Amino acid sequence: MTTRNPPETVDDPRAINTGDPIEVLRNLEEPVSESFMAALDRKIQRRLLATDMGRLTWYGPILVVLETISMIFSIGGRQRQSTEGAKDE
Amino acid sequence: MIDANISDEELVELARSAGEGDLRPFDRLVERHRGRVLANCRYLTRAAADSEDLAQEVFLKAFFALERFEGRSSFTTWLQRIKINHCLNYLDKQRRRPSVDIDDEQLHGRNELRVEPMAQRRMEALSQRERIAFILDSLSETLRVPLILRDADGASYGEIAERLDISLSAVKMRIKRAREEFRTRWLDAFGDPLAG
Repeated sequence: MTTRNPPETVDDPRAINTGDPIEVLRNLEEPVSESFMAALDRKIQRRLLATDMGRLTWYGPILVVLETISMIFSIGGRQRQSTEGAKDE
Repeated sequence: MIDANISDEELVELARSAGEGDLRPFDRLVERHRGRVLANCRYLTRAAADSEDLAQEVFLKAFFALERFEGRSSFTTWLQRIKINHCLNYLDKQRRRPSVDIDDEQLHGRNELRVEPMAQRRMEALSQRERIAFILDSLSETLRVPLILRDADGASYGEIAERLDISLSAVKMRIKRAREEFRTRWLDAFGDPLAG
């Protein structure tokens, strides 16, 4: 009597519905809870918010420095203009 | 309105151009893949209670990496890589935490861990999904992980070898042994898998 080895299902595409228990692993899916999508969307939104906050903390000090520099130059420019204006008069 | 027949890769394009406020194209991708990702997270890690969180983290990573998806492989393959890495990292972290090894030979004789005859009878009433969980959870990580990656996820031997950092021949050997174990345990516990 010859014994036949069970087919290697995934490696052998012809092995369909052979009764090999390994077949139950194909297209394995689990039912997701009703709250799955809402919870995922919340996590994404939270991460997006955290990323935005991160951007703010990154850009914040640079913006402050740039604004300060531009303010100093604009004040200096206005003072020079007013000094030169007074001299002309 | 998103066309039902739109491909995953087209949905990725839509998700990229939709902007951060509009999650609908990405949600459609999640709806298509969540059952499979969840199953893989569940069976790879054996963490039934954490599996939804794990699956959500996989999609979260995918969402923030969408810009890096180049389309050289399918979206499914790309997502699969994220999922495998995430689950293997989880297993690494779990391994570093002190725990009781259920394969420990010394524990087998303990009364509180004996399976009662009633529990044996209850196994007959398990659904197909519960049966799969029962058998997969009983396999050691060394056999379970490559088996799921290959037979449930369809990963190539080479890819599994790379992910698990073991040789190709070791992967083949483990998968062969895992299949034999799975078959034997299934037939011992439930008989014909297609009989339901």
